[in-house]
Formats: sequence, C-alpha cells, structure tokens
Amino acid sequence: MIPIIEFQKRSLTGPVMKSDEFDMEFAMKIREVVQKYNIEYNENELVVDDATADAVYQAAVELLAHVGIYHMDTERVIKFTKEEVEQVAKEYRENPGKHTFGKEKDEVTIEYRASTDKRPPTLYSGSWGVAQEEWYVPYIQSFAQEESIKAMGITAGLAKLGDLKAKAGTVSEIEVGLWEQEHIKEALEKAGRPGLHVGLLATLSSPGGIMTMMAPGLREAHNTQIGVHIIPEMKISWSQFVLAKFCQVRGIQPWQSSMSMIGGLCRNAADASVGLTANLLGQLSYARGQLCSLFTNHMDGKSATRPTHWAYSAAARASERNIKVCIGGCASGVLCKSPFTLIQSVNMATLFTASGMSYCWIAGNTGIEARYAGEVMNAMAGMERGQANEVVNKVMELQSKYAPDVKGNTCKFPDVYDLETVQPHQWYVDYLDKAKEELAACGVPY
Amino acid sequence: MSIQEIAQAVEELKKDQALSLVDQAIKGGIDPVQIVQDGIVTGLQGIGKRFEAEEYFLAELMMGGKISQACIDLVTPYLPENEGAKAGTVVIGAVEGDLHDIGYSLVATQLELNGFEVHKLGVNIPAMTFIDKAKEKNADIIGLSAFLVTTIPNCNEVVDYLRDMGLKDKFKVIIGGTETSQEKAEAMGADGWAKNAVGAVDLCKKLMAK
Repeated sequence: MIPIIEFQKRSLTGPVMKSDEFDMEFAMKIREVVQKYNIEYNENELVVDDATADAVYQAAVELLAHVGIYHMDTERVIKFTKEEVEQVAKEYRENPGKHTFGKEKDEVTIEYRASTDKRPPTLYSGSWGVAQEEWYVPYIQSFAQEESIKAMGITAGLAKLGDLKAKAGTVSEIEVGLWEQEHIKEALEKAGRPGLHVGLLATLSSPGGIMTMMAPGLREAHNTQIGVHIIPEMKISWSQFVLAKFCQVRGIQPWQSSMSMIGGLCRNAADASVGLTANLLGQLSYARGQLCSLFTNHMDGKSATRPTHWAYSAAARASERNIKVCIGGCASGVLCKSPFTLIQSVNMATLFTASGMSYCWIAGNTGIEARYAGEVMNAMAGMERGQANEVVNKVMELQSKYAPDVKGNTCKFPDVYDLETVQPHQWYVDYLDKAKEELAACGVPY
Repeated sequence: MSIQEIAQAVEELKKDQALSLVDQAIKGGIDPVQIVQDGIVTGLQGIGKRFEAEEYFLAELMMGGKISQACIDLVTPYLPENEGAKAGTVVIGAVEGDLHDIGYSLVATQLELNGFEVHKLGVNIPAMTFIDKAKEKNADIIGLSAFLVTTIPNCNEVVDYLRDMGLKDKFKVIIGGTETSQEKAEAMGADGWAKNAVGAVDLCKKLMAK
C-alpha cells in the first residue's frame, strides 16, 4: 500500500510536463497497448468474454505504469512502477470489495460480485441532476419509499436557493448544502427510512464545503460518500488527495468514479475500456475505496450506445476477474414522455448485471423506474453470457426504435409524479407498462 | 514538390515532411500566401473532415494544430503585411473550482485549427486571471468552461468584473460546459453559449464578424 503522503512527494518531485504533452503521451500509449494486447470492440458481443477482460486489465496496468497520473496544480506526473500497480490490484483481489452503509433497519452491505453470481447487483439508486426547491423533497422521497432501493448513490442538487446561487468555495455553497441536508432528512423521514445511505454529497464541490457538512445531524460516515476521483483523462489536483485523507481520518467511504470519453483522447470503445481500468487502478492506489462507478460517453454526450456498453462491460469484467472491487454503473437516461425512458434504464441494467457489476448507481430517473430496473437485475442475475448478450442486443434495438421519441418530449420529475401523493401519474405508468411489455418480448425476464 | 504535398503532409500529420516541404516551397519562390492557403489551411481542413468522420480524434487534432503552427511560423516572415492574419484571439480556460479540462481543450484545439490564436489558461482559473490575460494578449474573446452547477457562478463573476471595470465592450465572453445553456449565458450577460467544440468555432466566427 502506498501511503497518501507518498503521493504528495511524487506530486512535488515527478517529471515536469505541460498538460498537452501529457495528453499526447496518454493518447499514444493507449493506442500502443490496445494494439499490443489485441483488444477489439465487437458491436455484437456487448457483454465481453474473459480473455478480452484480462487483456484490458493487462493493458491498463501497462498504461498506468507508463503514463502515471498528471497533477494539474504542480504540472508534474505522479509515476508508478508496474510492480506497484500490480500490488494495488493484488491487495484488492485478496480482500474483495465490501462495505456496509446505512443504519439500523436501513443498513445494507455492498459486496464484490461476479458476472455468474445469482445474487443481483444492489439497487443503489437516487435522485440526480439539478432539482428545484418546490419538488426537492418529493423527488428524493419517490426513491426512498421504494423498498427495493437499498441505498442512494446521490441526491439531487440545487443550483440556487431563492436568489442565492451555490458558488463553489464560498458561504453560499454551504448555505445551499445545509438546506439540502435538512430536506433530505425530511424526505427520508416521510418515507420511513431515516437510516438510509444517501451517497455522494451533491451540490457541494469544494473541500471546505464538503467538510462542513460532515457533522452529527448533518451528514455522517454511515450515510455519506465523498468524491475523490481522478478527472478524465488521468488528472488530479490537491483536492482529491486532501479529501481522500479526510475520508481515511473520519472513516468515510470515498466515492470513486472512473471516467473515459470515447472520441477524445480515447478513440473508441477499446481505448475507453483501458482508460477506465487504468483510472480505476490509479484511484484505488491512493483512495483505497471499496466501490467505484464507471462512466463513459461520446464527446457529444451520447451514452448507452453499443460502444459505451462494450467499454463498460470490458472494464467491469476486467475488474471482476483481476481486481475485485465493487463496480457500479449508472442505469438511467433521459426522462421523457415515452417508453424510451424505462427501456434505456433497463438496457443498462441488463448489461451491468451480466457484466459482474456489484451495484447499479442512479438506477432510474424516478422511484418507479428504479423499482422496475431492480426487478430486471434480480431476474438477469446469473444469466449465461451468450443468453445475456442476446437480451442486451435485442434491448439495444428496442432502444433505437424509441430514440426518436426523445426530441421534444423531455420532462422533469414534477411532470411525471404527483407532488402531493408522491405517486406517478397514470399516463406515465402507462408508458412504463408499455415499455415493460416490449422489453418482455425482447426476452427481458420480468 | 507541389502545394498539394504540403496539404497532404499536414493532413497526414507528418510534421518533419510538412516542414521540409514548406521550406522547399519558400526557397523555390512559391507565393507564401499560396503556401498558407492552399497548403497548410487545406491540410487543416482535411484534418477537420477526418475528425468529423471519426477517423481522427482529439490527439490528432492537437497534433495537427502543432504541426500547422510550426509551418505557419516558418512562412510568416515571408508573408506580406496583413496576410495570414488570424481569425481572432481567444483566452480560454475552466473557471475557478472546476477541474474538467477535456471539453475546453477540445474547443481550444478546434479554434486553433480554424485560425484563431488561442491562449489556454488551464483549469481552476480565478476570474481576474482571465481578464489580465485577455488584456495582456489583446484578446477578442474570453472562453469560460464550467461543468458543475457550483462553478457556473464563477462565469458570472468574470462577466461582472468586466462590466464593473468598464471592459465589457472590449472582450466578448462565451461559456460552455455540461450544465450551461443559452439561457444561462443570456442571464449572466455573456455574449454566447456553445453546446460543443464545433458550435464554439461557429460562435467565435460570428462574434468576430460583428
């Protein structure tokens, strides 16, 4: 294990490099290792095989050992030896990821999961994006009241409170954060689940703002995660190290997330899978967390495409076989007046379950979609890879069929839920039922 | 040696060959304006087309920018005054509190490829640094990138400073990033918003034409 203080030393003594030069080195090396390990995207096999997963892992180790992590504040590169990177993975393999969140009846343990496990991923849902004051509580309540949701990955944030804009690193950020904690608590109490884990601190982004929230009655170790993640591609600043140390001192589970973008420095799905895995290994080396969420999208923001699916699966399975940390993915998409919304969530939930993910981060756009995505994960768990690939392919086709519905039909939580009863409107349930029918016809085992 | 070979070498990212061909062209007495327009710029356009076709990616764009800049530096002393003039000068970076650099890097690279002089400031940049650098470089446009709801107010701060310092008419301000929008740009008094890098180039060209 490399102590965090050692990362400070390397941040101050590593090779000096301009950000652009680092980007080029990253881009060229990732191409080299993808070719060397013969990693090829296969659009018809979105749940990847063992050999591909192992190749992605080997390529990621080599990538991280060669390029390191770029420190944006010092403009130096934090270097690793290959042995150090392999040691990080070995330590996790010998002690697979596991962490207990929540309190009393809302306690939940998230554990490493393999793709063949009949145990489904933990439904780790939650409101997300930017909400408004008037529907903040019912939005969170819509998730918390669903018994199948065992924890929340995040709760929605507010851009402003009245006229007060949440500005990073200032008092207004703290004021908005305090309002959010008070109202999260209200939503959990209304749902009868006061001990539920509520995940990543949302609006708060500065270390000062985050640390202020960590106090009895506000947020505590049992119900909070703090972001310490590497910024794509392979970049970090002092904040992440400071917050990682803060998490260690206070017994808080760090929120790790690995992201690579297709079409940027990573050309395609094969590059992105290696980038995701190298990023994951980099984070584990200093943050020592038990969970990590994967994110990838195209440069135009598109996600849930065949290339993003393949990259998710390759990185998740690389970890499943070679690292064994708890991997999660985000199974939600665009909220719109169409069956598309649920189809997209289920599309990702099927892939994640078959790819050995341990939890589904932000499943669904509202509570009811999360419930349905959870049902799918329960039914998909343990499905043989070939069959899972057939299901995922069919759901991809169904998603394409409904994709044109999105334009002009997007909506927000108050459009689809009654804010008084915190129940979905019947017309929205009808859309979801239609989606379920179509998904069942594709072989999704509802 | 033909001008087309320069364009091809630039498009195929062959730096040494491109520089050698430009040098030969200058020594051979070829019109330097033609070297720039029909050679280097045509090569850059080819890079742009390959990017759109997903044959090239961000790394190739960055390489293309560096190669073309090196070629232009070689030709510049031979250009008549006002020829090869840049499309405009842009100071760009991620605002204070924001560490996301891929989005703004892509915008910067696309602007460079389209003939803008671009000064990349990096991430987590205080408001006054944008303004000081814009003054120092006599910039036309200040580009602000913000990916978080809590860092968008730091875009407002730059606009507010410019207004309060009497510099609002001197520099155009554009914003971008996941949580930004045209409405937010208008509300804070910015001069424009772009959804992506291609949109940012069009926006900057429009602002320069005003």
